[in-house]
Amino acid sequence: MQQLWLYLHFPRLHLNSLYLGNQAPVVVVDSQRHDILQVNPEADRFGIEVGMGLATAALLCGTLQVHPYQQSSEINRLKSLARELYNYTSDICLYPPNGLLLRVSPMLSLYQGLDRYWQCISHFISEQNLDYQFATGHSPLSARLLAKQGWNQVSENKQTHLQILSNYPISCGDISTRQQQQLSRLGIQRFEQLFSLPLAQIAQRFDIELVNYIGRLKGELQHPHEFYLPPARFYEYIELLYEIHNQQRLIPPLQKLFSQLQTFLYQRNKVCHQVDITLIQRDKQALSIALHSAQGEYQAANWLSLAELKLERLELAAPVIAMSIASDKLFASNLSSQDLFEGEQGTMSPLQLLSLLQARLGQGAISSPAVANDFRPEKACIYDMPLQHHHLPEKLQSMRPLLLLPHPKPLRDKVNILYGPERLNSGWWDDDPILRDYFIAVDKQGRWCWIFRQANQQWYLHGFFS
Amino acid sequence: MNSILHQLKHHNLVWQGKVSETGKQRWTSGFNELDELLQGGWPEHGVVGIRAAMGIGELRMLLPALQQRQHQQQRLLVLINPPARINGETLAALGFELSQIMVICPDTPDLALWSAEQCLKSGCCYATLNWQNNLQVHQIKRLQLAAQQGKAVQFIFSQHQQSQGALPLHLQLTLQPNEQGIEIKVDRHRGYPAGGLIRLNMRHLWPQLCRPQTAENVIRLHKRKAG
Repeated sequence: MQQLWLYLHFPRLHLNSLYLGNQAPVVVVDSQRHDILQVNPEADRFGIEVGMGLATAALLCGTLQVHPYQQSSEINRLKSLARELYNYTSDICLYPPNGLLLRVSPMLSLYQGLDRYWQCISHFISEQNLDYQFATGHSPLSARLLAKQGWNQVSENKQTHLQILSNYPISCGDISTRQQQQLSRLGIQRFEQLFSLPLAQIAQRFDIELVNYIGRLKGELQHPHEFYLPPARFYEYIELLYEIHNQQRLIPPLQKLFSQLQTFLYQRNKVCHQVDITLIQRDKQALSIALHSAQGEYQAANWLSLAELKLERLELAAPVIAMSIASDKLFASNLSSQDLFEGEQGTMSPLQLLSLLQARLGQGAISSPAVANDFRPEKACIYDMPLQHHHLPEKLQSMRPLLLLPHPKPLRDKVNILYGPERLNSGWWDDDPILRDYFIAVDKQGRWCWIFRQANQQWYLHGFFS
Repeated sequence: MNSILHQLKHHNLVWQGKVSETGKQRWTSGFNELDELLQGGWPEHGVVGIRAAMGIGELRMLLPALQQRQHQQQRLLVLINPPARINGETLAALGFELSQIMVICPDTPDLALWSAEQCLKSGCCYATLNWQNNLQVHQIKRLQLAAQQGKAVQFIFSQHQQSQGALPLHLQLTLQPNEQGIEIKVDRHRGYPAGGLIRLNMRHLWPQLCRPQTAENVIRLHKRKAG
């Protein structure tokens, strides 16, 4: 089957992912060479161009805002884009830092044609307020090359792709400078000339890298890809364009993050019980805020109102420059149903409840009482795995206290013995033998105690008949 | 409705006879005298406060009802932060299904309340027993809503004897040890007058846990020193 790929290139991804609250000229600058990498339209109006030096740009515009380029921020944005695009298309491949490759061919039968598919994808991207270039290709590399050159068209025809591709100079492709020089010495300037040579001949004269590249570009050689898998946890990071001192000003960017969380949870039909907000402060340690919702929430508005309450009490020691929200544990939603007469009713299963409790409290905090086959009360009374059936001993002792002290305590108070004794002489087979006479007694406060006397006439309190 | 009346009703300051929305259905406590005191038994859902010293029989008072309800409903019984180890042997001997009982020991009181709320509203528990002192009004209200959602009853055991009159509990009992068993006093019962008092005798269930009754024709004499 003929393959069809779509490549999306985001030339100003860093700039677009900054939180732009105001309309000021902004540029993104390479922090080492001080070249301008990305320019927003406001800065473009001043005549600032990509590749310009920072000094020139500063001369052209006095109020220019400058941001150092960070690849990690672009990659994060790319991942979050892939996560949302996953709803529209199945095979996504990340080309960090600023490209996404989509495999179109398996989606065509679902969307009934390339036009509808592209309509959905383009609608989604235009909602994201991103600058983008796109192109289809019959191989991943051809789509990437065409998109980077700004072809901005989609087509199912392989010949169209090859024709457009042929006209581009070889310097557009990912060919090393040394090989470009070698090729130009042979008089090869365009892909057209390169494609007319048989692969076998190129292999004789050049190294295997170039052969692979050309083969993959033409779609003649296999190009393995690792496709994107959506993560099981939610994490989103946002960098603020300006420093925020006032807690109330943190709300709008938080709202943006929460709405992304809402989409994430809604698509999975999940809720989360905890959201961790991290506020990164300038020159200070990051502030962490944990929001809890006992019933589990997905809606941005509800999380935001919880966050507002927390933020009111917060003291900002230093201005906030970035923030992130994360949610690790997701739970199935729709665990309550609405009854016409009774109102909302819980419909969790015991195991769902158990997993919810264990997630928050830890595995060890929840157990079920069980009975071990032993005559010694402290060994017979155990806690075991919750909600599991256990084998009960043949004979159960009924006159045992409901609350048993794990370790008997020396009897201090004066008591009134009413019933007994019951002699327990057991445990001779291991190193913990007992010889005790148990009595039921009432102390001065009217408590029903279970006490015993050892062979050495020492008295102990062992439980209460609560 | 008149706004003042509405406000009074909202604060539960108006007594409206026996017409109360939550007081319709009851489940029997297993003791006739107690059923009479509680107008038919334990409430179908709600928060019940029990003030008692540990060990006087406060749990035994609940056990027959809890056991019967577990058999009827096949839902979970949850015990949160019990003051000592719960003895499964006693419960199994009384007919409880141990795999339907869950004991939760959270680290902090806040987590204990959170667990109680989750259990109550999950709909798969019929009762939770919680040992906790000093609860606040808003905490009780949250538990109340959760209990309503999950059709469960929350029993809260506290040892403090000080009056917590303003707590919006459905039912508040104070237990005292007594010669025959325990003395139960109703401090508050939503929709009903408070102040009822009975002496509950549990001799038929736990004959060993009762003080020996002296026959009527026996006269106690003071001990006299020999010689």
